[in-house]
Amino acid sequence: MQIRIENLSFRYLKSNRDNLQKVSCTIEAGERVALIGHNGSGKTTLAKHLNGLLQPQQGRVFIGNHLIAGESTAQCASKVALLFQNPDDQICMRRVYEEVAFGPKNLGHSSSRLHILVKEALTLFDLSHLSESNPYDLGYSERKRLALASITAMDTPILVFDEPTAGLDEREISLFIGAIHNLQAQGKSVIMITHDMDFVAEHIPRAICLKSGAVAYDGLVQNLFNNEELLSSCSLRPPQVFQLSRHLHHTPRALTPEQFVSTLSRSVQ
Amino acid sequence: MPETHSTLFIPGDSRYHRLHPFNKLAYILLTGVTVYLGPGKSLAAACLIILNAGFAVEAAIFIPLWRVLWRTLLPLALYMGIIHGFFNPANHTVLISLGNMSVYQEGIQFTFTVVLQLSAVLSASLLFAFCTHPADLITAVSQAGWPPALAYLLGSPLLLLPAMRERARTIQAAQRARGLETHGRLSQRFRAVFPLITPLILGAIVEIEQRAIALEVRSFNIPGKKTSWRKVTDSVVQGFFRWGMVTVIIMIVTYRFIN
Amino acid sequence: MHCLEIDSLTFRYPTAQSPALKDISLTIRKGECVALIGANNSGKTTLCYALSGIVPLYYRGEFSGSVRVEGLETVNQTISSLSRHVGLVLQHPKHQLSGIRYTVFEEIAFGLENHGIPRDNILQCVTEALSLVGLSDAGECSPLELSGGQQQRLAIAAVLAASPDILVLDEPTTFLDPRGVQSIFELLANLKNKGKTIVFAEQKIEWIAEYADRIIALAGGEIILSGSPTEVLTSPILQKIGLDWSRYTKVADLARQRQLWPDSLPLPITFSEAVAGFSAKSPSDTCAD
Repeated sequence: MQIRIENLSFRYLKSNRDNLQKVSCTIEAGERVALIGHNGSGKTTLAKHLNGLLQPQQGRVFIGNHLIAGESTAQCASKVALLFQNPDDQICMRRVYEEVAFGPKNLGHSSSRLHILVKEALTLFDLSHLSESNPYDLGYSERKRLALASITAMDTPILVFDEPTAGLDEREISLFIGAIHNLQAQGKSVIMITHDMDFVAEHIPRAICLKSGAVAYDGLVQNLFNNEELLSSCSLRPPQVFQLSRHLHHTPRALTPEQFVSTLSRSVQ
Repeated sequence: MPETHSTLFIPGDSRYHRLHPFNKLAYILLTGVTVYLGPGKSLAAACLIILNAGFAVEAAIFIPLWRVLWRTLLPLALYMGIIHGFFNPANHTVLISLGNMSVYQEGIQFTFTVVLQLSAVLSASLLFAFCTHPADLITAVSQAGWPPALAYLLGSPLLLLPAMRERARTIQAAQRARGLETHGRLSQRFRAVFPLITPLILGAIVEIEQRAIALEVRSFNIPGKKTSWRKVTDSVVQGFFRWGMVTVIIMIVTYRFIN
Repeated sequence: MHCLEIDSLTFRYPTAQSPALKDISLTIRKGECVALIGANNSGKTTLCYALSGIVPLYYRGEFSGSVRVEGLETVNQTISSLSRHVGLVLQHPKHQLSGIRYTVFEEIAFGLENHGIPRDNILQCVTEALSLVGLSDAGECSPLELSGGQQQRLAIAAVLAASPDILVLDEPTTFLDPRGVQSIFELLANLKNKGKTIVFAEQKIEWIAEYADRIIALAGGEIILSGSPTEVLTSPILQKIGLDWSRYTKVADLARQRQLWPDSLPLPITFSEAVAGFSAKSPSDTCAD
């Protein structure tokens, strides 16, 4: 399902500047997009416009071909699922299974479908063995995975994650990577807000970079990292492999270890 | 910028600002006891209101104080005036006749007394709230050697409530994003209460456990004499007045019980 | 001289079925900077708690073996007396604020007040702590208006005010943005130069590689690896315990498989090591300075 944002501007009640300034962009079905920028650049504010948590003061937001205006977030939730940073802001049930079922149940999925969705999401984030546990007996990163599973189980065509990898260890991050590939295979769009540029370089093809509420960059991740001036003005550091490749004057500069080594072997030959 | 605490404190360097917090607290208590239990109800209240107005001018908080005062009391005065003016059982003397209804002097007098008493107590309380930095109250409580838990109970809500409110808003947004309908029919809203309350409480428990460790590490609970960086000035004269007020309070209460 | 000594420590939380730490023995020298790594639930937090006396003095569970901090057996101490020797910083910056102090200065003074330190000494200690963590200009700010990174530095200053020689930090950067993460690591390097002993649990391998003298890897409550950063961070065991190599190590490992990394060099763990290795092997025209 396509997302189309046209000239979106927004200012919070007590703010002395526009928190979003004329943001326009289109995200196609099945795309993976990173939403980046320093703190206060408007990433979360933009995300909240995708499911009606905030209503545009100027401009329009279309989900599919449908204009969201005056629709409640609960209504938008069947198309756009949004995961907040802190899992503890949403965990409310006594069993892991019930927690994952909470979202899809609200969306009115049939009970047989519900069961399948919950099972799949639990498997995706390696929580099946904990399905009868109390969420609050789990550790922080398990609760984080639980929150990820709860959002994924809603089976929406669009998923927005705010800092999904913070606090996860490497094994858990690889579970998340598996999950986003799985979602993409189903034609779903994944938008992720993140500070982790190494993750972006290796797993996300497109980046939208916000700076003081305006779009400073929208395009391929590769080109973003090439633009050093823009990066430093958004206080972003290029990924490690990219830095290494830049330092060694490789062209094109590599984003992943595999790319790095193939460029290296070419330059040696 | 997010709000960082929820206090009414208005910075200043007046005499009233500099009074020891316990003196201001004793004064609130004295005002309450005088207007409700003491002799000469309305007159005493009127005198105290004038006195408080003087303090407010001295502390340069007259306008904000006046604003809170009338906004709180005017609706109450109107409401009570109507109810008691027409229907107070003690009504006897007609003031104004409106067709077959009459406004009576007794009802109006009663309303006037109640509003006057409330004004006196409320203005004394606002003087305290506007002129006392909560940190000074906390310091005074711990310097007086009262248990640290009491200082904590008094002080922490002011600082931690705004953060809690912010969290409540985030939780609501997070659950709505999961398709929870928080508006609409009453039954729907009722069902939405638990998914909103549960994370708030469980999150607070997680937070409290961490904070308990952090406080423990910083020796919050050790017995023995504590010092205080913040200075709350006290003096013999202030102490004299404080105990004077306490004595008067006890006298009025005793007088009331004897009569 | 050893300032932290753990001998056959096993600990089980009261409600848990299996121990969180199993037969841990470990010594840490004065002035060392030691990183604890491990997947989530591997025992990092519990080890941090054991080093600062929270286990078993706050969390009383089944405790055997011994932990000595600057020669003091933690079981026989109080958390408060240990705080003069070892400062503990937790993961979440906000949850460590006292909640009853309105300025950064007073927040730091809080612990000293509880110890009954005279006012003149408080001024000196707090001023030193503020400048140490780079918050000298923020003394009069409200702790709640600071950024996450500043709040975490405030938490560090608050425990440093009691002038412990050892600092234990439990994943202090999890909730910080990149700028905050960098400020914490720069601060740790600075504290190490001042002679503090530092033990920190952390997930971010690339930062650990730059800053730690020694790394201890935990899995299932046991020490799996212990050694120099290069020894631990290039070990193939890492992937088996839910962790991974840094990008630099991965790149060089791939390159080594194609004979593009000098056999004489160990796998790199930092940017500069990677640059050195690749420059050695690259043709001279692509060689960087």
